[in-house]
Amino acid sequence: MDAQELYRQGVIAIREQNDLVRGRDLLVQALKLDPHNDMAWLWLARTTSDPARRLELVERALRANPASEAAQKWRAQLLAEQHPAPPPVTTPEPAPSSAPAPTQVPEVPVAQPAPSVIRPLQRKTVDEPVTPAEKERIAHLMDRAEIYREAGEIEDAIALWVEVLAIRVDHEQALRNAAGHLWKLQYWQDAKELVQRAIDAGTRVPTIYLTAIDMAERQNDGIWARELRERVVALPVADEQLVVKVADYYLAHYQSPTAYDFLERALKAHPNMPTALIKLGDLQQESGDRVEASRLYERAARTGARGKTRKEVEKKLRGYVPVLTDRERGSVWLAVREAVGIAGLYVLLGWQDARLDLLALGPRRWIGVLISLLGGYLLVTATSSPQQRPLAGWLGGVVPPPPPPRGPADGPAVPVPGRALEEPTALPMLSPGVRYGLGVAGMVLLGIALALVLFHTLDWVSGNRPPYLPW
Amino acid sequence: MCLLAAILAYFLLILFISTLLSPMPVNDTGVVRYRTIPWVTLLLIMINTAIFVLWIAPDLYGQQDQGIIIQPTFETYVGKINTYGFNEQVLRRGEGIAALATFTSMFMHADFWHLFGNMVYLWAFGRRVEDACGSSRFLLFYLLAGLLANVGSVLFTSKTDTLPSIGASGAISGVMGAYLLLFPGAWVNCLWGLGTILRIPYAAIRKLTAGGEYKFWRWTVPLPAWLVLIWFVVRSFLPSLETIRSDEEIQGINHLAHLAGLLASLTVFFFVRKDLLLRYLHGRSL
Repeated sequence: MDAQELYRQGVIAIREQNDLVRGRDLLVQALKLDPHNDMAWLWLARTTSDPARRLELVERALRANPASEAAQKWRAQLLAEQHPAPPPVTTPEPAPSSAPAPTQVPEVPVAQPAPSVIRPLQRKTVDEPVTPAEKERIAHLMDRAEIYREAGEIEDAIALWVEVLAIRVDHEQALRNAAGHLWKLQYWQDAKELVQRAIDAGTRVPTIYLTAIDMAERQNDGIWARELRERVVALPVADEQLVVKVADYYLAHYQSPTAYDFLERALKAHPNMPTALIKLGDLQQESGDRVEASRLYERAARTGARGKTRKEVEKKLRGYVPVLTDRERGSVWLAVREAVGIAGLYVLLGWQDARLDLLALGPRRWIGVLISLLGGYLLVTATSSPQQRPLAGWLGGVVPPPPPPRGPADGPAVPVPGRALEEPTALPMLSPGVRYGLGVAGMVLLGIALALVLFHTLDWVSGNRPPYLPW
Repeated sequence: MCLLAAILAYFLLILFISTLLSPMPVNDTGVVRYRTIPWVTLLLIMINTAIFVLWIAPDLYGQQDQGIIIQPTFETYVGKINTYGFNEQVLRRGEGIAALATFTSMFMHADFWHLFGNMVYLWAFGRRVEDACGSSRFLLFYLLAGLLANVGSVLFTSKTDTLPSIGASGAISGVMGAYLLLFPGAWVNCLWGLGTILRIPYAAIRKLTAGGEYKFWRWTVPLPAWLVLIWFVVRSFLPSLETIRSDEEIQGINHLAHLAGLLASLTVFFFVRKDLLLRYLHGRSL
């Protein structure tokens, strides 16, 4: 096709098919063959929403044809928009159209929002698999785009990347390249549009969200940035890498409170993200709250993280007191375990008392062992396991009130030496009186059990004073 | 003053010789997660030392300055060991202090070096195990390990000699085994002459190749706990086989009690803290 035909096809694509990308491609090709076609420059200006870029293209049209009235008028209007006159004091007139049309191209509706250079989204979403044929097509387009880019024909390359995105809306490389170059060329709206499409399609590619947040921050668009963070948090499937990258972005930009808030909300929605928990723990540690940092690291460890993350959290936890949860506090088996250990000691004593003959233990010693099991259990219940389920409830235990919130004057909480950190509990706890009673009963039973399992030894010792004692 | 200096020099010389080839762990390098003061470990060290100093040493060393052991004093010493040591034959007959001997024997030591070695090992490994268990549970574990070590040494052999066993080494073997079970990746600082000497050329090579600051001399050498304990097991296991084969104790040491104590270390899971046990069962480091 010659330049004129390319120009004609481009105008048709824009005017009749509303395909701005194809129109722009054709016009760019036409202008490469014939850069003096001022109308082609003007039509090309219609394909961008960026006023600066549009002004540049209109000025190219004027250079091609300084007598072009349409170009002159449009240039004047664009300049006026860039440097608006002070508003009149009288009743304001309706605002003039933001996109004035040159007289030669009246077909393009001027009152509608600034057109985009990118095509409407096609049927593909992130959940639809890409067919092999589409994969091949994507590879082909990416190769061609790379050739264009190396040749410095960025606009052609962008067109191809956009074409890739029409097949796979969140193709990471195509999106990064297209949005990046569009941004550089100051097609900010188009770059945002591409990214927004991918996000709307539910992409889970972290860099796309990061790019979008970066764009929003660069344009001081706090609302959009906030929306994007909310989207990251609300993703149905937790993408930990994404959450952490977003948090890292804030931290890198000295926005610790935002990072903290973001991580907290993300963890509320998806509590089992070890790396995010570690990140939040690090923030707590930096703020001096070692207790909370420890809890977060412990939570991270309990998510069952593996590999590098696990090593990291274990390393961090080594400097902290472990955390005791309701799961451990409420377990009967963990309490019985300790009682069995005590009973084991009594079995061994009884065995030696029975002259190392297990069969000769006899009913008295076995009863002693059973009593030691009961006594041990009562003692353990009174001391280290007063919140067993459902025993504590049966014995009239009540849920202890949460500790009063710490004020800033209290300083950071410090764990008690020798004790694990205790998470807020929802389990009832035995009253001090009951615990004291159980403890005394347990000690008495253990004493009785000792007398039973060592009855022979005690008999012998009471009747025969051993020699060589210092008294 | 001269006497004290001579005693000190003698002590250091023996220590140097005994640790020249075989590493002696003196302290672990790990973090004490629950930040406990090891009261029970310290108490056990104090009780063992007090019993030795106040009750055994006067009979054993009372007449040493005369160059000979006075017979009546030594008889008292042997009598105490026979009465309060763990003796299978006496136990089977139900004589002496019967089953109580299993406790009393755990707090008696034959001589100063016996006491010193045991207490150093107890300090090196007990501190962190006590932190993992809590003081009262650690005491129960220590006693249980000691009992099991005594009983195990009897069960593993049909030994019929009447020599009593004394010393805390069975219980301490249990503590060591528990340490290895709970903290398999831990490192311990050891007194080790050979290691200290080998460290000098190693440090020189490191300094030449990697550059930077590198200490040429350190009194202790950090070694992986598992390596130290394997060395301990090897030293106990081979004589134990010989003991089982010949029905006689080798070098007067009850190596079987050491091995039984190591096996008794498995009972530590009855006594470790609840949260720690669950962490352990989930394969997490402690």
